[in-house]
Amino acid sequence: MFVLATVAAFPVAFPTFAERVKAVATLQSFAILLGQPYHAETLAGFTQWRVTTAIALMGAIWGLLTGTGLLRGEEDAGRWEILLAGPVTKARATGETLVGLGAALIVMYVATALGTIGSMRLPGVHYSALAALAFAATLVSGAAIFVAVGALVSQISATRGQAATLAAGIMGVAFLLRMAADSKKGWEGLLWLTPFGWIEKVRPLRDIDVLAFLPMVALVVACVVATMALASMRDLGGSVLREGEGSPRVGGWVIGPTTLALRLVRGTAIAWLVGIAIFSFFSGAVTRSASALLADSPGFAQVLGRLGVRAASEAYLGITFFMAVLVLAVLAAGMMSAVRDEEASGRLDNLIVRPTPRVVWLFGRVAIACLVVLLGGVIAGAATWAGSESQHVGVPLDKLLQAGVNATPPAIVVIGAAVFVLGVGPRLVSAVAYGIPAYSFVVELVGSLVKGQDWIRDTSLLHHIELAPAAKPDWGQDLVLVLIAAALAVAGAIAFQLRDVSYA
Amino acid sequence: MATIIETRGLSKTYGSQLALRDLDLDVEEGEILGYLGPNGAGKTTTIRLLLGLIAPTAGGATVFGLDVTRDAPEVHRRLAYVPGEASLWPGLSGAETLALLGRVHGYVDEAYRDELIERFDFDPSKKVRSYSKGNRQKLSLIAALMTRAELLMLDEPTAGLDPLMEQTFRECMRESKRARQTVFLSSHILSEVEALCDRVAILRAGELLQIGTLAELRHLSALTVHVTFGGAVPNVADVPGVSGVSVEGQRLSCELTGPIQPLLERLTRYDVRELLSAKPSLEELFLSHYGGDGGTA
Repeated sequence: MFVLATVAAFPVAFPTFAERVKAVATLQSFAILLGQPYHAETLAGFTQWRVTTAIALMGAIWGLLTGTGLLRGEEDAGRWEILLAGPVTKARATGETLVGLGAALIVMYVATALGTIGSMRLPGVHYSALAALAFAATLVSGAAIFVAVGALVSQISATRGQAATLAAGIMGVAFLLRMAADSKKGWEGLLWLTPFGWIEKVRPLRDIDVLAFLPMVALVVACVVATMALASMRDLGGSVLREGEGSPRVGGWVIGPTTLALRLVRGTAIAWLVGIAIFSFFSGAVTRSASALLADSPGFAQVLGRLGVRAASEAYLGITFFMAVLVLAVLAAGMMSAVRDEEASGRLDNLIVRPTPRVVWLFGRVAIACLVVLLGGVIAGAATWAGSESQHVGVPLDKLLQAGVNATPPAIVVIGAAVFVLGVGPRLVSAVAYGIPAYSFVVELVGSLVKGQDWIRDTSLLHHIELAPAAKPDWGQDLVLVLIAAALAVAGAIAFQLRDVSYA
Repeated sequence: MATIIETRGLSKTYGSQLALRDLDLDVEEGEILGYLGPNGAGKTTTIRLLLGLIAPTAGGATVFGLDVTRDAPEVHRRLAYVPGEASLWPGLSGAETLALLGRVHGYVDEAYRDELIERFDFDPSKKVRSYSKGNRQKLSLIAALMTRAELLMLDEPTAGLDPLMEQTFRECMRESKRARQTVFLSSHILSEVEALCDRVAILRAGELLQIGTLAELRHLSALTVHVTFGGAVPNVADVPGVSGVSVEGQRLSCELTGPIQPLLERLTRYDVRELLSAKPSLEELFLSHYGGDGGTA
């Protein structure tokens, strides 16, 4: 759909060649996020640039969550014990799970290929069927690579959480490397060191580089072979990495539902916050070179005019905070999914059969989620400042801290919406919580091309946030978002208090 | 004697599926009530209703005279619950879990907790993830018992325990009874119910079939009679209260409800060599109610 929408919208948004050339100049500002545009004045070049990295990133997140969920989460839940009690060896169970995941990827590929082939019927499309098929393969490759990475880390990790964190860390480093490669002239060679670089290099619709598929295939095969080898060698529940020991004392700081929630989110939250800090520091550290790329583009002055900023560095940093908004929203979605999981698993019962009102428990979880998001925003601002100061960019700390805080309201809305769904349809919490940022991201990318249909972009949360520090934060608008979130949360909390506890 | 649990017309349906219908039940202070029923009979639904985890579709329940839904936190302050399958936080150690649950409850008899840890042979230093099912169940039991709560709501509490630990559990229950604690014990282990419970409630397909002491239930049930004759075997099918007559050689077996005198009068006219009669065990009582279908929810 994303491909079809982009292909359909391009000739409408940029009907003349002159407009396309002008638009390409502005695309450079997004190079650090979406990769270097390549012949983006053509429909094929623009489409592959606009869609590839975004879809590959979403696919990678799905892949690592699914891979670790099926290959470690099921084992953690004890379901593999039942499976392996039958005439099934661990290697065979692992192999069959991988085959199942492979089948899911094939289904995904076929669906994507139908979209890319279908796009050939749209006006102005000149790429071949082979190119369309290669494009579909490129789009699915992020999911395939991180399913394989997820499968491998599941064999060496002690828990599903540890596996998902490790896989997410690998994905984060891979994405940062890709960003580094696209941040400065002369660093393009780094693209060969990261899966996201290989994906960017394929360019299936315009001057395809088939060689870039090779490292992807090699990595997937290597991960699968290593996964099978480790699966057949290790005990059920065994791992290479160790999990930290629990406290043998009857005491400690976990004294109630809220401190318990802190303890439960601690590991994941720290991992996310460290990731945000690294990402933000790096984004800040390349401000000078990325801004120089921006300044070189002929359309830059026009962009600056639209954004109302005075410095190239601030324009660039505004775009990097767009990424922070997304990351914080996904972080919020993850924390709210964990809240629902507490109820579905029956662990919540341990607290609410004691004198803890349900809403008190929920309030603690929501407060912690909001605090972590806010902390994430502040860390994003501070780390971006630290990175940019290391290059003497000169954007003041308070401006970047404000930009970080300004990045949090969409995540707060995700939390509010998740609480509402927890109250009225608890089984949909994860789908809604993750769906909101995913939908908003796609709408932002597609909606910007659709003229005269502003209401579509209005449905995106990301559209209601100013790209600070490129633009001044609109605190009034932010407050409206927070109030909407609060209203949703209150309604959800009331419904949650009144409804039956809902198990998985 | 105070009524601790009282339900009137307590009902729960999920869509068109009946889980519990018109439950009228009173549990008195210091009593151990055995709550029996096959899988899906509505036992766990009853407990969840009494805990306020789910709301009734009709009727209502009070615990300590308080509404279980409206006054849930106050009710929960005075009770402790052990689920059939303990779902705990895998990343916490046993010690951390006990500390947390104790603090949340508000009161812990620390000396008794340490004693329970020893008696159940439980190692609290390990993470919950590494515990076997039995050890997780021990952890749940210790967390409940250490509070010395006035009411213990136990849903299959010995699932996964070995026979030695089951004995320890029974000792704890006897101590609870001596301490005037009230126990609502849902169990499949009939010997456990027979050994511990003052009264037994039998549930089928969401409906309460019988409730009473074991003696009362036995009184209501048929007496099993086996008679061996030296000569001819009499026909007793027409004797009032007799049913299920079967004859195998010189041996006659039948069920008897009501007074035994008419049957004895008939039997003594013949050459009786051996006469055995037995009250049904709880297992026989239980099985006599579940010859056919089981539960609904």
